[in-house]
Amino acid sequence: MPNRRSLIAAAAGVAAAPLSPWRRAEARSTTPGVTATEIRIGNTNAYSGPASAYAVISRCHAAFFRMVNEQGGIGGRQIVFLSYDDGYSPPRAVEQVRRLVEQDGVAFLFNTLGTPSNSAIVRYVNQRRVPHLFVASGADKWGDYRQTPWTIGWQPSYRTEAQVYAKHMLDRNPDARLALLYQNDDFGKDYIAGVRDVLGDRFDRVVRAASHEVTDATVDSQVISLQASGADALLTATTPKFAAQAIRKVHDIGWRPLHFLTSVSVSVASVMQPAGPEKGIGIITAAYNKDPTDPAWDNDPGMNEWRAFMRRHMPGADTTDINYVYAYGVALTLMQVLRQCGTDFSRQNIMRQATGLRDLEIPTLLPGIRINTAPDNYHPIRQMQLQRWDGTTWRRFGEVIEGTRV
Amino acid sequence: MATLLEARALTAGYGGPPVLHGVALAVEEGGVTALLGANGAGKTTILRALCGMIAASGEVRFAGERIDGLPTEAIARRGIAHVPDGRGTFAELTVEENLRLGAITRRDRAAVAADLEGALTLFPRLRERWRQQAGTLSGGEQQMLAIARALLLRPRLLLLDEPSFGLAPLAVREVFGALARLRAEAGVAMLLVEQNAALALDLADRACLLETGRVVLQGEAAALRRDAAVRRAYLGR
Amino acid sequence: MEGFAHQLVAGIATGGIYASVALALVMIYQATHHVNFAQGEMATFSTYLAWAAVQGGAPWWAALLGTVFASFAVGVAIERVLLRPMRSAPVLAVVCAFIGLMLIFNSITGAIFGYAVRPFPSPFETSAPLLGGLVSGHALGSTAVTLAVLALVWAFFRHTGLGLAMRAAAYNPVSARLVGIRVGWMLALGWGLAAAIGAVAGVMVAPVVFLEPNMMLGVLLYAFAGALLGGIDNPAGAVAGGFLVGVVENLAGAYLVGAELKLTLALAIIVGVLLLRPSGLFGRAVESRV
Repeated sequence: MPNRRSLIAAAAGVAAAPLSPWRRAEARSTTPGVTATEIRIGNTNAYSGPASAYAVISRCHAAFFRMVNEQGGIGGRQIVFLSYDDGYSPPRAVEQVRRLVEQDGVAFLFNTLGTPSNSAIVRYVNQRRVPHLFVASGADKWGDYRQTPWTIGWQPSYRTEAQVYAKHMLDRNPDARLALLYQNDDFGKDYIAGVRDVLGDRFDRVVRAASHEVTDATVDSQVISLQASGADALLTATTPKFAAQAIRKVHDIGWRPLHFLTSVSVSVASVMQPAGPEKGIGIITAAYNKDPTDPAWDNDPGMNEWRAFMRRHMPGADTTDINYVYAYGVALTLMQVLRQCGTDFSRQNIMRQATGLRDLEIPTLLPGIRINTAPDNYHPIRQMQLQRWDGTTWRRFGEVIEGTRV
Repeated sequence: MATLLEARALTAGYGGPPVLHGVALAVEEGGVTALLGANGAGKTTILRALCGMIAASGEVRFAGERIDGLPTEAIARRGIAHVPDGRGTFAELTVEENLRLGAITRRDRAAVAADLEGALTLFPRLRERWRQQAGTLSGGEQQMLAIARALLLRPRLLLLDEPSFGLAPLAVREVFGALARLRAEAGVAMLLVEQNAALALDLADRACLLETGRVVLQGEAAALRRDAAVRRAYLGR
Repeated sequence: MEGFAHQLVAGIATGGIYASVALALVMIYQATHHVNFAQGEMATFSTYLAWAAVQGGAPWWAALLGTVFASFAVGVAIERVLLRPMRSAPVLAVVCAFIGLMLIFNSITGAIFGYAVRPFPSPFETSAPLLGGLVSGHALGSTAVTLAVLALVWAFFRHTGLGLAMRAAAYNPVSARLVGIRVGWMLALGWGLAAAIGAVAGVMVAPVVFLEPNMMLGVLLYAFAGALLGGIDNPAGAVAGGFLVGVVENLAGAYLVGAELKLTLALAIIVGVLLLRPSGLFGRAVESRV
């Protein structure tokens, strides 16, 4: 005669039957994407299209995780790194992330690239409670631990960067008047928010802002207007092509403001050269990674570790490309999180550890910059150091500056 | 008189069943052949088929050479000028530009200038409207413009599709007067499609009667004018 | 006042950019009665060809000449190979083909040359800005080139038989054939000339906006607006329209509505003008008597 236990078990089995095998497995497992032998990590990047220069980041990660596996993996498990191309297109990003979560069953997402792509997937991953770790984008909203508690950024946000510039400007000249040239999208507007964070009520008095659209041919008109406002400082928050135009125009109309330039547009080849290297002398930007071309790091142990990794695991790659430094740093951060997880690789614990990093030193970050996260601080890096263009290269100066807490 | 244009077994249509069934006709050098028939008999279709504007089968010879299968512009360059139904003027261009276009394929500048003078003498009204947009001309003036443009090709054969259509009686008289003068002075051969059979038979020396895509009667214009059936059906007597 | 002069001159300079692309649009419209949305991307591709030639050591003028001829050939090829089969297709299908061309050119350019922003040399560069920093040597030079191309285009359409034949072929292909015009080759010629003009426009524009695959994205929009404003069947009108759009956009943005709304205001003005004069400020109004 069937006893109660077996009846209940049978009933449970019948109830579970309509679920697909995978769903059943998930229902039973508290560590999706993690088995006794592997941890599955999901990623999307722009392997094709206009942003494809960033694809080196994911390629670097693939090599990094191969290295980790060679060294025995983490928590006794091998890492399976699945990275798909979204071509910087939000709809494709959604498609790929769905695939990663529902078909490939990854434990979490790591360093997914691009503000538009991440904006498209953030709601889905938060609904599904999939850790969305160390997003590769400078948008400030990845720090919104209330709305999107499963999403956390890594690099200093654009807003933080603007705070750093504003602080430095006030240090140099408390009565400075600031002109702000910004791209009329979330990227540009983050800079406005950051400046406002520092200036508070004084913003309207001190700041004159001019926006431009991505479809504008030039920003010459905006630059002329900003000069006419009488400002003695200028923050240029725009993408490389327009940054080059702005630098050139500012110089040509004889304006010599204290000029801050977004770290997005500091490429020597794409911005400083086209603008005219002599025209940009004195421009200030901010950095948080060690630049592989900076002679100060020739014998730096941290960078040597990175160089060794590059030689061994990415032979032939362009070691002047700072994207590889970035990739290495964020991968090290992830390894710390996984180590902190111990044996519990549930999504909850992964998230808990990701928001529990204290004074983490990463050898590829500038000295003095530490990673800190907390349940109410989803901005792991909030410090930057300023650097100035001398006509040939960017030279760091001064102390590391921290953004304001908001 | 030598035969200038000769068509044999001409069959054509607009994609569906054929509109013309094995039509045969001829135009002599310097002669005028009238094409008569009711609406829908296929008169316009014949002109279009001769000019390669629609798909057609059969043999068409112009001055002894086959022209069936050639594209319209090649046929025009051989000296056949077609004044289509609806006149086909370039409405957005001026009278001057329309006339210049008539001679666009010609290299003999002096002769073109002479022909232009001749056309303006034939149709003095056009001289007054020289810089006007062709689309603003009256129906009669547009008809004259279309004929003048065709003449500027210095054609050996002129195809005319319903030159009297939609014109006031005065304008019709002017146009046909000009055609008669043309025929008498310049010896241009013409194939004339006309609803107005009386007018056509006055001008022509030969005539064809078309019914549902077939030639039912052919011969000297004078003879057809006397034919009882023709008189009843088309001349109203 | 000095600021105003700057804004005005900057507006004329930007307007010159729109005007030069508008000329290519006018050419293609006059020849085919279609607006080629791929014009900007084709011009960008041509500019990259010139850039490659210069990188390879060719002097600027030789690179430009070579690019103009190459672009002409590409334009003719596109018409003969891609568009000829679509001769009797509905307008919407043709528009789709143009948009497809636009995407294809954009992607090919990016795939071959990469997306980095590059400087492009100008033969008009002076060591110091002219007129007290008001205008650069290049702005003056490129405006002169635009006006020269305009003069050539205008003379071509108004005073040559070929130009007249091309216009006729676009207005009324059936009648054009009846006067002996080879309509198919007129279309191909129109495409070739438009591509060649686009190449010149691209080479003039690139030193200002910097060379990258999306260089013409915004410019095409403004050029189109300028061409419509001035009259898309009138080369001089389209050029004037381009300059007008540049000036109005700048002055409106600086003094009236601020940078955010300047595009809106410019487009609103254009729509307003077109409501009153549909053929544009200088276009020829087409009337027909029924």
